[in-house]
Amino acid sequence: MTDEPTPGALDGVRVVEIASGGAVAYAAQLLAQSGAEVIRIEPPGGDAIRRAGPFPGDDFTLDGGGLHRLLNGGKRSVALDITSEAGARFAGKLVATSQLVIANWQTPTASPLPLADSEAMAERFPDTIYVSISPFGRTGPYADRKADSLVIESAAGMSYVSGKPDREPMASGVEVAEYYAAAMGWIAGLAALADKEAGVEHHFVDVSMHEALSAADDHNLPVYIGTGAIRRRYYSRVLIIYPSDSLPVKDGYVAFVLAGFDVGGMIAELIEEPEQATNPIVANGQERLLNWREFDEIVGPWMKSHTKEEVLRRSDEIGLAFADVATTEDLVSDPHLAERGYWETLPDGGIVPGPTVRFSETPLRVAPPPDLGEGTAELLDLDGPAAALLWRGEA
Amino acid sequence: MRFFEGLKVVDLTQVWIGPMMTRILRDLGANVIKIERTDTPDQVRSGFLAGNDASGDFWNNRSQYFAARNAGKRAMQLDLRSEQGREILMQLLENADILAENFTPGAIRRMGLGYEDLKERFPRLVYVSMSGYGQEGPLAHRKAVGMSMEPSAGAVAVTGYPGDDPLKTGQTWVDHYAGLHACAAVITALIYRQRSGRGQYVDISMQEATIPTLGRHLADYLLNGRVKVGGDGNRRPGMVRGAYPCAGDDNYVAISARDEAQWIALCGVLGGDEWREDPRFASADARWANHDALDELIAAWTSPRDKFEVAEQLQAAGVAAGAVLQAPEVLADPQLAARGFWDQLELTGWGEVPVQRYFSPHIDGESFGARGRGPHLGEHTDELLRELGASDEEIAELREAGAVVGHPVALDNDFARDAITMRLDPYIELGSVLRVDEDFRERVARGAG
Repeated sequence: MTDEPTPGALDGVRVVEIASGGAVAYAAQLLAQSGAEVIRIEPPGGDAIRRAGPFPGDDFTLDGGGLHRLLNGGKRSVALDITSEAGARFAGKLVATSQLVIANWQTPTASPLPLADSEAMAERFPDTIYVSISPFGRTGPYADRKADSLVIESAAGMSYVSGKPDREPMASGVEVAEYYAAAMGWIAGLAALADKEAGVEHHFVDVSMHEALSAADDHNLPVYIGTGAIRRRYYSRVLIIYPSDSLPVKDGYVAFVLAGFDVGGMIAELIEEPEQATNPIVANGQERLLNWREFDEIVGPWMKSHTKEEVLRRSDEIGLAFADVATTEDLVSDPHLAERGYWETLPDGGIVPGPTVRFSETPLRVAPPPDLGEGTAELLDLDGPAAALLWRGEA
Repeated sequence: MRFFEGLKVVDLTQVWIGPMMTRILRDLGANVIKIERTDTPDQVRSGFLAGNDASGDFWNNRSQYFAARNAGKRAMQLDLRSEQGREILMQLLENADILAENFTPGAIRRMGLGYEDLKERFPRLVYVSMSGYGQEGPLAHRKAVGMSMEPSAGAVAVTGYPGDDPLKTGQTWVDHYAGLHACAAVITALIYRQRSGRGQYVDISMQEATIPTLGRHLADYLLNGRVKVGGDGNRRPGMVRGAYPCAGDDNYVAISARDEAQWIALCGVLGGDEWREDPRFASADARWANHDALDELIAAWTSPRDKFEVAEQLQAAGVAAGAVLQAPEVLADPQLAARGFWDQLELTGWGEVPVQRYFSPHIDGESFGARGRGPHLGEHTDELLRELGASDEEIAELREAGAVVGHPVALDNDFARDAITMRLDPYIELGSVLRVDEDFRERVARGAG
């Protein structure tokens, strides 16, 4: 990375984030990376992300928590109590000067700022596009329901097909619905902003976490719609093809992933048993799935007698889509990501993920997260004591 | 949306990440031209066919799997390895705004169609490449599909039941998730172009887009050097969280009580004062330590009950909860229906089928659905050539030369047809299919109407 200043695609755009959960925070961070000025309005004691950890050395710190570093980079922070009259008034001043405001706000009475009422928001801030990211969207019978990623994964049909056949449905280990909602909020906010620059008025963007993840259905719906078969969890395997599993090798696991149908020859080449190329339990994806224990016995000895590196070198040569079952440690020390310059070092020496997207002209910028309330006085044009009063909710 | 109306997208992508991204642009108003090879069409045309029927000549029009990713686009076949085929592509690019591709890195450059080859001639072009590991770097050429990117982005290592081996999820989500990043990137590049007049190149690595989702696991390694291998299942530190059995055929309810207030509310519905006063559950730490015992009590309460009713009772008390839905229940979900999430699209020779909206947000009350069914293979080849000014004679010549209409081979043999015809009864026996509903067509029509 060089220090040469590059243009940001969203230079000059101001975004206000009302601190309200991970999806909102991540969407706002993605906009900040494109050059938008993102002002995060947080409660004076810090929001849930700052309090969630993990913390360095497991010692609580408001400004150094792990999720805060991953979700709030490149933002400014204004600390005020949005549920108080004064706090809401000052927050409103910032919203009025912004092109976008992002929030997940379902409760009508929680703030004098009418965040739960899109029409009131549009009336009060006619020049600002309000992007709401909520669990189920702001209309429909579930509009006021609560949900986290588990509940959304369950509603989207994802949990039911995840896990072992004799166990309960299983959630992803990452909060996948939150990130889907963030990405959808990012897209929708950009689309509304672009359209506004093209001369069309927009006021309210209603993003549903539930819909964002439901759209990501892979083959549960086409299978049901076309045959009436209800796909069920079976070691999280897809229908038609096996494996997509992590199989044991000498020093860990390798994801043994077969894409395409005519792969018998490639598998036989991998395990150095050419005669297996025409064995139906090797050559035919459905035979492999239906007889997977036998298939595992055929490939298992070769896999277990080779290391990860050896297996992946062979699978790359043959052209199979195998992959490392990478741990966080593997990723941070990964030579491929290192050569691409993925990980970035913040001024304090800490490492964070780099850009999720590579632009040739307007590269994303990764920056440290703000200390709580660092921008309160400056951004609201208040002197220190006044900002402190606001901070304490006494203004 | 006015901004997208009239934008022209030349779409060389196939399978999922790319087609999903360009379908969003189509639904927002862009003109998307889907280009498929003359020998092998988009593989997902043959994915999960309606009627589980791979016979006959129309297999390539009979997949909801394909329709979902390609609704409303115009499709042409073009042999980009031929001089004439590339010339037609150049003509299509003359007034194009976006070129999207997801070939294995390097392939499109070898055809002379890389960004470096095009940027001088088309300085306003936004050119987006999507791949597993990005365009450069030692792993750039590794074969990649969504199922291999979930492990390689680190998500599988942190997923699984507590104390068990890592396990992927049953839904290949990385393709789609990275495609959303590609879509945001394209719109960002268009905003920049509007201001600067300049196009640019965008490199999407599914791995890089996905790594930040590791969230707390990644943070814990970066800050404390702790490496997580294996998942927490449905559990999360500090919360009472799980999927619990309910009445009926393989039914569960997901419950997620995130804090003290939700725990108290949960007790109000399920266990009452007895649970609240139980020292094993007296604090978040205690509940975490005794989650197994708590799960048994919760499961005993939920087991005889209806999953929808349990969810409703808990929601009424302020606790996040919801039924674990099976595919037909997703199609019948009242919330998705109320918000108009499904479009009914024609599958030729089969009838209407519901297709989800990839761009689901509502903007000022407006929503953005599919603008037509999935295109048949090569359906718009002639139409698009005519728009470029080709005469009937010229079209005939191009055809003769094999530049535009070829002979798709995806399902020309019994092996391929057998491979995609699902063996449903054996799957039921195996356990990967719960059951087959005989009246599924009525249920689908009723559910997602």
